[in-house]
Amino acid sequence: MKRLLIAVLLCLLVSGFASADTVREYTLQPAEINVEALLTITFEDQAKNAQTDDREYLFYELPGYDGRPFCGLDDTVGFGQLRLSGYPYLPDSEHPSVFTDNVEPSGVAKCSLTSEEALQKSEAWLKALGITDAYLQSVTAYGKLEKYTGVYLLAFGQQLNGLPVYWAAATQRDEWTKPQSNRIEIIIGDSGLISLYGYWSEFEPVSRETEITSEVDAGARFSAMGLEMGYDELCYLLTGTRDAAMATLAYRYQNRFISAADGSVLQ
Amino acid sequence: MKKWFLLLLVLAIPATGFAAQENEVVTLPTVAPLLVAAAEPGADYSSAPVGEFYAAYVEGDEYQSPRMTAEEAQRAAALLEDYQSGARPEQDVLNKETDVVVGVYTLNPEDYEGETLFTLLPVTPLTDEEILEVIDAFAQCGQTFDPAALTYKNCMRGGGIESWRFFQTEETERRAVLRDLYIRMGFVSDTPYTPQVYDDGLGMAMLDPDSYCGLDYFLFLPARAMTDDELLRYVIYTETSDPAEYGNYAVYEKQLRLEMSRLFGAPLAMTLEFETTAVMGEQDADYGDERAYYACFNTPDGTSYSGYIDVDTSEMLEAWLSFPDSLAYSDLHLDPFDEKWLTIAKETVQTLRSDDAMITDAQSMGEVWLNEGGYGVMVTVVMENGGYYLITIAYQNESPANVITYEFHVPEQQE
Repeated sequence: MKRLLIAVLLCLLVSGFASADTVREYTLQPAEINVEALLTITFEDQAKNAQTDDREYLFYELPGYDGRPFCGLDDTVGFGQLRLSGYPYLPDSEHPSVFTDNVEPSGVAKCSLTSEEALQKSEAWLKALGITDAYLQSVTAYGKLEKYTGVYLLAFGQQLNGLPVYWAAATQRDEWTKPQSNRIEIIIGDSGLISLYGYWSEFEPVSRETEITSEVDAGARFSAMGLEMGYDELCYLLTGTRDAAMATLAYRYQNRFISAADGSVLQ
Repeated sequence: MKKWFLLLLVLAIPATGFAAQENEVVTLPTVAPLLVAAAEPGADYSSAPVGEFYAAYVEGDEYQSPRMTAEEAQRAAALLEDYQSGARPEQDVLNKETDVVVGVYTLNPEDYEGETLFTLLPVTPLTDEEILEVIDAFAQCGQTFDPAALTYKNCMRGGGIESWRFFQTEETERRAVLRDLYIRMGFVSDTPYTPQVYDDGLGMAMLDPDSYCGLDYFLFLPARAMTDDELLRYVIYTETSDPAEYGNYAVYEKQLRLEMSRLFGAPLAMTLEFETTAVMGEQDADYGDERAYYACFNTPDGTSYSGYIDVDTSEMLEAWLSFPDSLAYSDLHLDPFDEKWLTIAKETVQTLRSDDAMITDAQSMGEVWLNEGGYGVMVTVVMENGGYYLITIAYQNESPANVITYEFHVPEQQE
């Protein structure tokens, strides 16, 4: 009995250490998405009729249709991202305006759908697609202008280990090859999904560490950089090139980042 | 002798009074410092920079390069024979001034590095008629057209990737000074500007924009520094504001500066960059026939202020405070409907304004793209007079960024 107890305690000790490990760095790859779910979301009962074309990535449309409905899974954009799109059929008269002059400041869009219902449906679609690491960034209601259909735009950011991911400014210098935010925007109205579009990644661990820079040390580091004593959040900073991108655990203060591993300045 | 001296002194006293009356205080034409022309050591008035461009130029749109295509050149050879046999184009394009699709212009060789003719060609493939028009124009000048002789020195095509030369910085600066002298003080040139280039080396051809990728005019600038008089001629020719208003500019500018200070906290020490008058409805469909004065001012730190003021009511109609680009890209996305953005926006307005105007409302307009700075939120702050501010706040530092707009109309009227 005593031996068993010791063995259990040892196991707990080992698992305790393991859980204390923090994976610091990851490589990015285009996310794996449930294609069947995307087809169903986009084409509904016409999903089985959707056909691909001659592009170098998956792009589906219905024969005989010009434009909507269509959907795509573009894994050729680089930076370890998948460009995901789903545009169901929509009559011209129901095309919404998602510009600032049509934002409904009350947060209630000019439609029967409520923002809570819009969120529930959006989360269900993401789950069906296999996206489980999203977090809600914002819900914007549209419909201030009479002539446009009222809709909600829900924006979801991507999390890694429960922490948000941000692209570094340095990766944005070349406007022709810069990555887009790891973010999916869903527009939804009374007619259902209007559009789903965004960029998503999967993260493969490449290094493990057991300790990270303490919050106090991080704050001091930012202070030494001439900023406030403290930090905004722990997150992952995404850097790299079209061919290879990496996520690094970092403390963020405004638009400055320091490595959570050694406190070095990342941005 | 002493009596005579005293008498002279007494007589001289009224004379000093007359002199003092002559010495009246004269209001300066502007409260802004006049721009100072500065010579630019690096200015190059020749076609050499364009030559360097084409020396390194590998491949591009053949309809925007200063030449005919191989196929067009081949047709030109055949059409030259037709011309020599008596074929003639339907229209004469030699020194054509307006609606130019194809044009050939006579140059003063001493101003254009020895070139005698300049050819303008469209972005579209040339028709036989257009090629014949070029051949005919050359013939009128006693020259035989040779497509192989077209270069960046004597040809621009389709809105041109690079062609001839542009105003040099020092010329642009002198032009600003001369515009000021023309508008504020009535300085004019004795020689009027003409669009024809052959008379004085300066010229302007009004293009058919569809044939030149939207470009609506082509300037002929001599391959030397333009004189002040030449620039003044150009300024007078191209100025579009109402000459009857020129004498009022100083008063209008003062009104605008005072309003900029009241609404935006603008400093007095701003450099006037540009000014004009306009009918407001022609600038913004939300307005009517208000007579407006527009000016743009810069400060040393790169902040700029610009706006339209109603010259009859002194009411600011539209104004902009533009911050210099200083933000690095940020990928941060936050909730644009968080109450804190409204608080920041209202505090910003209260800090900017120098009066006690009440804020009646503030609303988020959602997330906006801040160009290179990433993302932020736009907030409307409505004032008690119905005027409102549009304030963009960067997520990354929770501070105003890009441009703050003030409009006299309430937002609802824009619907």
